[in-house]
Order: sequence, then structure tokens, then C-alpha cells
Amino acid sequence: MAQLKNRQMQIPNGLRFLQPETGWQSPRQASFDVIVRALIAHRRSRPDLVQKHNWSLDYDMVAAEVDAFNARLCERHGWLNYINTPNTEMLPPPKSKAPSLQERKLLDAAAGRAKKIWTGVRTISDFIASGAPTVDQKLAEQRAAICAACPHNGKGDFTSWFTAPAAGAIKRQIEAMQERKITTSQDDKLGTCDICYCAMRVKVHFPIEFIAAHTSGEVMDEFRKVPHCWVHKEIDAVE
Amino acid sequence: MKIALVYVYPAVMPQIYRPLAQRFAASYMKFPPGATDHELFMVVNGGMPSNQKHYEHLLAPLPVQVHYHDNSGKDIGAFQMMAAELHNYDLMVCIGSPVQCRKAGWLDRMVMAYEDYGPGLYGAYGFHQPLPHIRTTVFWLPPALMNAYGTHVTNQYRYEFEHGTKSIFYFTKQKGFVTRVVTWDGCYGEDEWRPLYPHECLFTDQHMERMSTT
Repeated sequence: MAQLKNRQMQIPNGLRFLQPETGWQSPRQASFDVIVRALIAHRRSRPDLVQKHNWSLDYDMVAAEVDAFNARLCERHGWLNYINTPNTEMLPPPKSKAPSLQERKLLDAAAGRAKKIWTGVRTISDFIASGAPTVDQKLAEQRAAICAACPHNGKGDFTSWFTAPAAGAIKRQIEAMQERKITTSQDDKLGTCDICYCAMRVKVHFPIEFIAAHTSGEVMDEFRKVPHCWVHKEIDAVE
Repeated sequence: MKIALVYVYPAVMPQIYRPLAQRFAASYMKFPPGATDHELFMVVNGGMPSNQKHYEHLLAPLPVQVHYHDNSGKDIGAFQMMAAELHNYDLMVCIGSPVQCRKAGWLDRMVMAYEDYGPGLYGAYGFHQPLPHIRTTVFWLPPALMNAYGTHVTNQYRYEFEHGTKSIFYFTKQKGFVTRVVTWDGCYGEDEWRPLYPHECLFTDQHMERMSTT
């Protein structure tokens, strides 16, 4: 005989029960437990019929009746996902598969890179919003010349480096800087730093104190591996 | 895969929803979606295009493409409208206003699950009561599936769409597609659903918030 797979799970249109002798129906969209208790209460109100039809008032027995009623209903409608029946020959849905260790590593690596990118975007955004002064033009030109010749100066359109929203945000930030007429002669050569994922066209104008406060230890360690990089040189000089 | 993230901003009560929108943007930047490319849309529900500049900057510095809906059918009405607009996308992630990202890489995880199990209806939470359903605070599906749902969702029909007998959940099953809840650790069919711990969830929504504060 078919049985519900899970009494806590509703079947289509909700679990239900009909007591044919009285026409009593369970409340709509009620839980299994509520239906069982309501049915027992209904039967208690008709002791004459309890005796006549030998109705059970025991919770477990009544629960089995409610279970069988709904399982039959599911069987008739072909809702076989909700019942266990010896006649069911359907393949069960595939069980959940946890990401493999390798997939987790890939997810973590991509997430780490994305976090780095958005940290850069937020940093630049904060700077622009603050309206703080940029470094003088001479220093910006010196920095830009170093970055333009650096092997970590990533070439290509921003969209080849970032997701569309990140690329869009960075483009907007560059436009904001250009509106303030903050540029260098190297702008055409400056791309994205593949260590910090910052748009160097913007970053070369930032005060070093601001950069120091927004650079993680991990990124700083990477900068230090590049002897000609102005970021760690200037930070060390300030400290 | 062409993916659209659609965030709904109910402009009818800005005092409530503006901070929520800004919170979503901050959580997106703190816990970004990952390496999967996507486009970001915001549907202004009940707002006027005359305030376009204001809406464009609501999620700043995130660049969003702003669309407008008349607020009929609430958030689901907006998603339905967007599904028609995004008919040439492979996947549409529908994000309700109270949602916050809680760990970086969530879109990568969504797509990984989608590639493992195929087209269908996916969500961050699934419940058996009052009827089995995927909670519509965050769910994702091909826009074509949303467009195939035959009923125009009105305000009165909004909850029927989520957890009624004619829900998008049952519609998806009837069409033979999968319905799954995706967490960081698994991708569950309805017979495997159980209450989730916050650390398992891809997002925090208003229900989760309530849980974690009680």
C-alpha cells in the first residue's frame, strides 16, 4: 500500500481528509498534524458513530488513515514523487552533489580575485567622492612612466579583465577623473595592474597615504616582489 | 552564457527601500558575484523616468541599466516584465529588494549548479509549507521559462505565483524542468530540503535576517 514519503511535505493542493460518513473535511492547507488532531476532535464529537463504525481515536492509527488517504490521492493523480509505492518505477531525482574540492578551489580563487577587484573599485570611488586633492602632476607623470614600462601593466580593454559591471564602474571613474582634467601623458599606455587590479590611469594620481590605507598586506607583499614599483617605494619612504 | 541580474527597487516607499538598495550594492561590492560575466539591471517599480539620474546612481558605483514598471504584481510583475525584455538571455537572476550577498562567488556557484542540473527554477531557499515552493526573494531561471508562465501576475496573484497551486514551482515541474535549492554545499531537490544554517545560504534575505536576530 502506498504511503506518503514525507508527512511534513504538502502534496499538490494541500494535504486533506474526508470522513465520508459525515461529510467532514479537513481544514484547507493544514499541516498533517493539524489534520490528524482535527479529525480526532471531529470523531470525539460523534461517539455514536465512533461505536457504529469502529473509528479509531488513537493518534497513530488516525495518522495512518490520513497518510493512506493522501497517498491514494497522489497515486490516482500520478503525483508519484510524494509517495513510496511498490509500483513506482520512476527514477528518483538525482541527489544533491556537493562541489568537489577542485570546484571549491576554483570558486574560492575566482571569489578572491573578484573581491580584490571590487576593493579597488570601492577605493577609487571613495577617493573621488571625498574630493581630496590628487598628487602634483610631476609625481603622477613619474609614476605613470614607471607603470607604462612595467610588465604588470595589463593591456586590453577593461572588459577583458573584469565582469561588465566592474568594467563599467571603472570606466565611469576614469571619466570622472577626466572631467576634473586629471590626466598624464602616459594615459594611452596605462592599463590594469595585474597585482592590485586597479586602473593605473586613475591610481597614479592618488596620495600615497590613501593607497597605503587601502592596500592589503597580501597585495603589498606582491608589490614588493617588483623592484621598480613606485607603490612600495613611496610607502616605505613615508614610513 | 548570457546572464542578467535583475534587482527590484520599489520606488513607492523610498524611505524604506533606498537604504535596502544601497545595502545590496555595498554587499555586492564586499562579496562580489565572482568571475562569471553578467549585466546588472534595476527595475524601478512605481517610479518615474524623469528621475532617471537619481535611479542610475542609487546603486553607485555599480553601473545599472534602469527599467521601469508600474508596480503591478509587485516584484514578480517587474520580473515578468523584465523576462520579456531579456528574452535573448540564458539566465535571469531575480533579486528582491531586501537581499544581501553574504559571501563572494555566489554567481559562480549559481552557474555551476545550473550547468550541473540543467535549465529550471533555482533558488536560495525552498519550503514545503503551505505548498512546496522556491522562495521568490532570490530565484533564477531562464527568461524563456518565465515567459512561458501563462498568467499575468497581478498584486492579488503575487503569492499564488510563489507558493500557490499554480506557482512557478509547479509550472516548472509540470514542464519537466528541475526545481532546486542551491547552497554553498549542495543543490537540493524538494525531497532533500531542510532548514538551512545561515552559513550555507548564498544570500541573506529578510527571513534569514529575522532568524539571525532572534
